[in-house]
Amino acid sequence: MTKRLFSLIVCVFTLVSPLANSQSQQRVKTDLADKYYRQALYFYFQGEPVNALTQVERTKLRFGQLNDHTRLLQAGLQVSLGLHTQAQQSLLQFNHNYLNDTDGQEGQRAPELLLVAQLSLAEQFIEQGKNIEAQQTLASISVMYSRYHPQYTMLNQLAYWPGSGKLIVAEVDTSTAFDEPREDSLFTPYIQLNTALKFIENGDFMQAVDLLNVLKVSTWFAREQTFWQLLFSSALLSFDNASLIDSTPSATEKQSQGINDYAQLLLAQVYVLQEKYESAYFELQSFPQHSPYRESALYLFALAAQESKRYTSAFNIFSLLHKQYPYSHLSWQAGELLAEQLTEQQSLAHGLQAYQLLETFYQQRLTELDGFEQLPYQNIDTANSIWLKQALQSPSLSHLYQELVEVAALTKKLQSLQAKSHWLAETISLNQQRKSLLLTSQKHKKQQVLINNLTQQRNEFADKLSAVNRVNVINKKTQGNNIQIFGTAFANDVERQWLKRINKSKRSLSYISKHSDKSSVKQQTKLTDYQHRLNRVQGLLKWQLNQQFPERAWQHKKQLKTIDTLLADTQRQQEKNLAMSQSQHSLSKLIEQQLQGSAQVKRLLAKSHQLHEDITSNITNTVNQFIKQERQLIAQHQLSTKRAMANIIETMTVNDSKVEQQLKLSISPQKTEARP
Amino acid sequence: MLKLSRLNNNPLCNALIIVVFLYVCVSASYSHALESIESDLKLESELEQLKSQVLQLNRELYILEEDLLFPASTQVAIFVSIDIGQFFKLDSVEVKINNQDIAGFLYTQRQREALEQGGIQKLYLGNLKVGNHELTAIFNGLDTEQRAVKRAVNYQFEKDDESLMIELKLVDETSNFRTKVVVEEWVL
Repeated sequence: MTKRLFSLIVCVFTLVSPLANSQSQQRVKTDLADKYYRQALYFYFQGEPVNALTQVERTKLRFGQLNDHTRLLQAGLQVSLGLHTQAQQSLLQFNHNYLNDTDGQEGQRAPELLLVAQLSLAEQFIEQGKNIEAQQTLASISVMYSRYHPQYTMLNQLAYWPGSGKLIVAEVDTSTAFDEPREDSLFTPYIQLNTALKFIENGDFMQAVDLLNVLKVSTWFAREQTFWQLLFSSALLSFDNASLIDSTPSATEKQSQGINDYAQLLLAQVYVLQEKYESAYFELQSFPQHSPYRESALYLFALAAQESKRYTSAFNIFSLLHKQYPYSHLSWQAGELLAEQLTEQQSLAHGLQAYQLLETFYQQRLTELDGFEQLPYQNIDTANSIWLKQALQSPSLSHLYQELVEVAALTKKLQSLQAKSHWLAETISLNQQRKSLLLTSQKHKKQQVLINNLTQQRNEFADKLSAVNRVNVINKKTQGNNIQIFGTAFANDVERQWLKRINKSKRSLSYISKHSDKSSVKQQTKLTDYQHRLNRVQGLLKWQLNQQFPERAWQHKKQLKTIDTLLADTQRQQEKNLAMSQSQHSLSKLIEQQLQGSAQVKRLLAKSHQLHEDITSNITNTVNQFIKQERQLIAQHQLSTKRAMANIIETMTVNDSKVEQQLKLSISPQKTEARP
Repeated sequence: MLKLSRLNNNPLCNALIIVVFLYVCVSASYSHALESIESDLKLESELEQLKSQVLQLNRELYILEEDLLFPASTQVAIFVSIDIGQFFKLDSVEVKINNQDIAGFLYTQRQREALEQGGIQKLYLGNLKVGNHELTAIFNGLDTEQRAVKRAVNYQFEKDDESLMIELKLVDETSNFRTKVVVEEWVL
């Protein structure tokens, strides 16, 4: 019976749920916030800021709030994704939480994080043109590390530009192990360039020249940036597959060379402003050929050469500039200066010819502009025009095209989300069907009744077992080691058969004994013999059963315990199923979420289409404006060219008439002389 | 800085032309420029808003998907992390549960570096029945002398009706210059 009960319970439990044993062991809770933060870091280091931000948001959903590191990471990721308003809010929240820390954890919190947040917030304010807020944020900085000092100085300059920024933070904390001395950090080239520009703007040319002379030959090495500086760096915007920040030696060298070149160009400009054309000329003589500032340097070089009366050099450089940069405004000016030089240095005829060529050149540009206007330039992939490249030099137009690309990417993402939403709806529907099937099956099987019956059977079995045990104990107490027949309670099938046969034989012997002939000695002897044999068999069986009684009793107790556990688990699972069947909450919540998501996808798709149209319209307006300005500029150049040509023709006419008069004068005496 | 003179022989005439030209250009384009800046700012703000909403929607659908496909009662997640990674250059990992392949991953340099910098990778998310199970993880990689090596771990665990998270950590042991695999079951 025990076996049957056990197998039945196992069968029912298998139908209801898998085995579940609770673990009562006490363990230390994992720092899940840190684990979630590190998952976000994994995505970030892989160049997947969207997934990293999603992970951070999930952390926020799970824990209600974020710790310092995670909040700062969130702000950095928002900056990387162009979510500047949200980043600003996150940083403000970080500052507020840090400064109003009521948990008494100030000692444990890293002031470096606060500094990073304050600097990043100031940068955000500067980018949004909120210089007063940036100044206030920078003024609130109380602790400074040397690694962040250049960034602080730069932001300070920008926040107070064009005025002179006050360096409020005087203290640099060098107590931390990772920090480095600040000597060279104060004099980063960008800060020096800004300082030189400020000198130039203020007319303080001497100081500017001194500074630029140092800067143009100094070698600059990019400092290794901290994790937080890299996080908030705009270099992440492109999310290409290259390393997060291009800090390869070649890139550093290029950057250093670029700074040297710019300092040299700036120096030449200062000389030109001071009308020191000789100095400007010699300064630019050694200017690198492949510098990004080549175009400006060429123009300045040619101008300096012309002003210092090096006409051949000026002619050659102007020609080179005009040939290599046909769409540059500097090149157009160069063309006119060249024609003017030809007029002055060679002849009026040469000058006129040069101006005529210039006029044809401008006419060609105008024709090209007409063609560019007809192009589908709103689509950056198809419009591969030199004029579009020129137009894209305008940051605002370039920004608009960037926005267009972003909207296209967002639309694509929304379409994929729409597909996902549909798929989720189908999955929910399948789950609904599965759930209804389960409920039908549960109703049909009436599992609760079955469990109750099994529990009742188990209780009966437990009662019997305890009764047997109780009797056994009493028996042991009264009879010592002479254990009697109570071991029969755990007899197996064969033993039970034997016991039945013994009882039957006993009854038969008793019956025979009652009806036998008492006087027959033979019969009585046989009966006694049977009785003895039966007693021997019975004694052997009882002995065997009594021997096995403790082991069998223990096994039954163990089985009872297992049955108890299984019944409890089965009951729990049954209650869970019942609760699930009675409540539609979990699935309906998912359905509601899916419907909301689907509606949101539609709304956002419409919004993205509208945004696409608006940006396209803005691009059209901006390009039209660009074309208009270029036409106006060309018209102005045409006008000045025509004027110059008119002047030349006029001068030529004057010259011709002079020559004619001279000729007339020289001919008329001869004629007079010839007339008698 | 740039010299705009020398366009004509008469400097006064040049100056007049430039002033008139600039005035026409500036006055005509000033109002347009202001409108354009306002419009650009508005567009930028709208784009930022759209971007934020798309990200939010993406997150919500992601959570919905996870709730639907991997309910907590059956959810099991396996993570991989590296503690320093000086003695073992991770190349790939194979994970089995109850002797059945459930996840495998081949690491790029960038992914390995992401782990070495403290990131935790969610390698697998799936469903598992309540009960006792056995997890086997085999990590393939290179040692400090660029020899191919394997590090493996066998772990018995019990799944109850709460979500289960197991982290496989590759930890450097400075005592023997080897890397061992440590299994951490997150306590929720």
